[in-house]
Amino acid sequence: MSNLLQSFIPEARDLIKTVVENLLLLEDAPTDTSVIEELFRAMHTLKGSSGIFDMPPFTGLTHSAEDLLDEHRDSGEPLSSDAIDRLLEASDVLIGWIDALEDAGELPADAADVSHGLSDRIHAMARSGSAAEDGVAESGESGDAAAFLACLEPRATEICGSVAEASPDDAPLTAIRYTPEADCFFTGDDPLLTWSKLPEMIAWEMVLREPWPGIEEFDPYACNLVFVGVSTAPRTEIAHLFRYVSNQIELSTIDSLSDLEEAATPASLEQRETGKALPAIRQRLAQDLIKHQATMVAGIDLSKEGDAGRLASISKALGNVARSVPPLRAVADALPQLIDDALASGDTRQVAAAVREAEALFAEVPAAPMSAPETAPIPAVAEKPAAATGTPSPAPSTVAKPAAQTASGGSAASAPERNDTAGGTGEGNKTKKAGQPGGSRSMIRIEESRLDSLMNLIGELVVAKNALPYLAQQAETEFDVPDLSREITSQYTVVDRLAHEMQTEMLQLRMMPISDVFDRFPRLVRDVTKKLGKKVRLDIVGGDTQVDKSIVESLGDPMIHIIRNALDHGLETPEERGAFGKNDVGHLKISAHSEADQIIVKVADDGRGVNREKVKRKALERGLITAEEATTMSDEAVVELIFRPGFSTNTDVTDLSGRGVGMDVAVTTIRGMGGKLQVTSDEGKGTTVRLSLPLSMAISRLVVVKVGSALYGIPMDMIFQMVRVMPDEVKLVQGREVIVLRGEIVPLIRLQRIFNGAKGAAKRAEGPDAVVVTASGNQLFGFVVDDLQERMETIVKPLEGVVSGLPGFVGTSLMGDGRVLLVLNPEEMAHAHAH
Amino acid sequence: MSAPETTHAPPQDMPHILLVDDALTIRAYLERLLTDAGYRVSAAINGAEGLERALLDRPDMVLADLNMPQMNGLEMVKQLRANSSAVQMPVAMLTTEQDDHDIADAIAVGANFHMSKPPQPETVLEIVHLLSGRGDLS
Amino acid sequence: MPMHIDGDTAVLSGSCPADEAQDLTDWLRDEGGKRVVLDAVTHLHTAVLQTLLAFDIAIDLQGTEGVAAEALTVARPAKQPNS
Repeated sequence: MSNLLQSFIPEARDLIKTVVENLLLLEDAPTDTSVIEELFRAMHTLKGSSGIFDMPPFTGLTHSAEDLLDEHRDSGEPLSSDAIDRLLEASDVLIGWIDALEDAGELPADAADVSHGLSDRIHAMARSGSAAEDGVAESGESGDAAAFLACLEPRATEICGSVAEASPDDAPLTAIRYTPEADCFFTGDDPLLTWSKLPEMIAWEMVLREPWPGIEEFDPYACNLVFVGVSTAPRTEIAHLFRYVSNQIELSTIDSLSDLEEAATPASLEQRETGKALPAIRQRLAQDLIKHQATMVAGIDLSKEGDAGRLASISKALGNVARSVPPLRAVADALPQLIDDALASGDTRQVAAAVREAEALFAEVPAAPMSAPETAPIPAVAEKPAAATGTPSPAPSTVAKPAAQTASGGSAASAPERNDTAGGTGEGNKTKKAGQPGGSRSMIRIEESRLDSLMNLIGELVVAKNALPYLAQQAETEFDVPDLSREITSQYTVVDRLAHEMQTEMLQLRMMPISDVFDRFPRLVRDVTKKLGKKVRLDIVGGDTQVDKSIVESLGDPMIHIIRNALDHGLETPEERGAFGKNDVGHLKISAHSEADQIIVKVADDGRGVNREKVKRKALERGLITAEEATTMSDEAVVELIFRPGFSTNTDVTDLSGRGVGMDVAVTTIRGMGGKLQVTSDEGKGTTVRLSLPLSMAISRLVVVKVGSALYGIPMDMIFQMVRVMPDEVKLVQGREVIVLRGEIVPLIRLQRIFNGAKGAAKRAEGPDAVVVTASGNQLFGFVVDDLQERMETIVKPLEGVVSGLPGFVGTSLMGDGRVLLVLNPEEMAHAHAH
Repeated sequence: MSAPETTHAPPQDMPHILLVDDALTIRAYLERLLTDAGYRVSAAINGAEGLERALLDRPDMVLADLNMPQMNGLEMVKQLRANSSAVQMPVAMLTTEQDDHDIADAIAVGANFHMSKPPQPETVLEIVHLLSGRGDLS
Repeated sequence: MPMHIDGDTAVLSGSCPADEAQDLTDWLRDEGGKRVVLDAVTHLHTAVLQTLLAFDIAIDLQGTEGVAAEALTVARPAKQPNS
């Protein structure tokens, strides 16, 4: 894949995201011109960028979308809901294609058909296809035919002949100069292509914006061509063709052939030559600069530290300025000697006088010609030629050969213009992005895989570091060198600290705004409510809350389930809401904030809430609870029944959130991330789902336990207590082994039995049992292990390959000695084996 | 679309500009602006680093921010000017708004010009053209 | 593959997108009398066009017509009038 395509893919994703965001904004504020403008701009850039690559379906689809947007941008008419649907559909298609480009390097096989079909439908929505004539006709009036047609002069006779042929009645001609921005390729323009569409072209020519730089400096992606031509086409038609680059177009009407002939006479050329006066801005700044040096000189006292240096810098600065402003040269040349004298005598009056002289000199001769760097054949900035005599410029370099070193590569006249536009866009982005969530964060793009591999390396460092205490212990116990042991231990603390700092830094690097997850919800909410015939106002709060990348990656799916559920089951239809005296537009609020080392995410609706009696009935029917439990359950426990696997079944399948999976999957995923999920519900008033998630799932603290000959890890944050119990403390309740801990009954789970079956259970140790007590909700469980070993901090990697999806485990981790540790998910393990 | 895939080293005889600014965005912006105009550009992220680079690399001109962590632009210029063995290249200082205090300070320490942020591309290019001695090349 | 390089000759054909310009530039930077053949080029991106213009090379318009051919011949930015 070419580098250009590689940079196009993320750019396109950003742009499509902007498109979708703004389309959704448009639904709430259909007439907001700034939204349409932003939308148009994004689509335009997307179309343009895609044009660099040879993929007509992509460019075609974006083009039709751009046309539709352009029409509404001009007319100020709001986009219909249908139009927004079509554009959203187009965005989906484009995203699909971007995925395909990334995976396969090309568009899917059906892209052309899809593009045509959808483009046609989008075009059908555009009123008539006769988009309004815009910008150019007015803004381009400044063009001075005489100035820029000069390059066609050698062909004047030819042109006159062609014109006579094309429009014998001496119809008006339009002269066009198209000066593409230097970085136009990166916004996707292909000036030659645009130019080639210019109708009724009589003659045209290209000129260089500035002389070609040397071979090594030549940048194929900085457009250096300027197009000049004459056409007999109606001016409005020309303006329409160039409507997207109207700022780069100058048009000038030539009333008759005689004008053209005149335009091509040497007289006008001579005029052009005089455009070499010092540009106004340079003039002003040079004056300011000299004044500044004068002020500096006045404050100089050579007995003060640094003032000798200051004086030298003034000399240097003035000398440099004088190089661009020749009349100052004499003064500048004299300065070094004057300064030497001043340094020797400590008297700066001579220097001050010289600088004042420079000031005066400059003030006298502002209109005089000064050597500006040579201008390109056609000045890119339309300077009003000043009436002054100047030496003719050296012959502009021709295309033939790149000059080895053309010193004035960036000529004075064109450089500011070019960079003007660069600055303009930059600022435009800035102001626009300021109002966008997370817009300013993409300062540097790093491939995710690089972050991941760095993270893994740090993980391995942490593990490698863990081998040192073991080594220290060996040094002392096995080799009997306590000094070495102490030394190792002290080195260990250093490495340990560094590793910790690296981890912390790394975790910071991995932080992303949670808006990366939230950003897809407006679209989801819109589509779902539309399908359900409901109305909802969505508020998203706290999108800038930073969370670990792994959380961002995993949070999307469970939240989609939760949001769908809220819209489907929680929110009422407008009619129902009306009957309850509620506003017919429902409210869904998605929020995030950090709290200690947790991220709290809430999804709150103001819908009908959970009907506890109904839930209990249903749970009873499904056999999820017993009749006895139903009478004693707390309200909260009842509400949480909706997250139990198998709670919802086929009877209430809807297109959206049914199928009996969903909510329990959401719960499992959230738990898998080390998070918790709580629901509170006020019947008739709404439901709030609260997720508390770890800030990061990267680093875990584990207790290593031994079961049989194998080692396992148990996450520290799940552990309630670790105890040793004598065999006689173990009681049997309803055939299950339990212990009593702080007055609570704790069921025991023998890991030997689970991992090694009955034979493991048979080999029960005689002594006390080591029990790791974990908390799962309000329930405690005791895991009986053979031995408790060290605690460690480590990176837990998710299960992969054959073991992926193995229930009861969260992942694997590496030990200091290189052994792989399976890390338990005590909660899952307990639920699976407690009965 | 981001930058072209290859960038070419500007010719050795183009003026060398040292940018000193802690803000990545401004640095990147000025760097692109000046590189595009053909200058050789290097950058430092605070006054201490800027001073070191100015003394070692002897750029033709320095463009420095005023407010920076570690060592601010004023202190940097002050130390540069006090170094008797240093090349006293022109320094233009970027000040926030048109703050008279800042400007007076900039003059006092020995900055040869000041311009307010955000720097306008035309102004930057002209100032750099005039102060870096590029005019000599045309 | 719209661009095919064989020794000192490059053959462009069909539609030449912008990303060709870099490869072409890299190739043209090397020493030697280079020759570029435009074999039935249907579209020439401006970046490729200006690359061809910037280097002093022999260009052979084999079966290439239209705006691309015009750009490399009559509309070519060569001599400036009287200056």
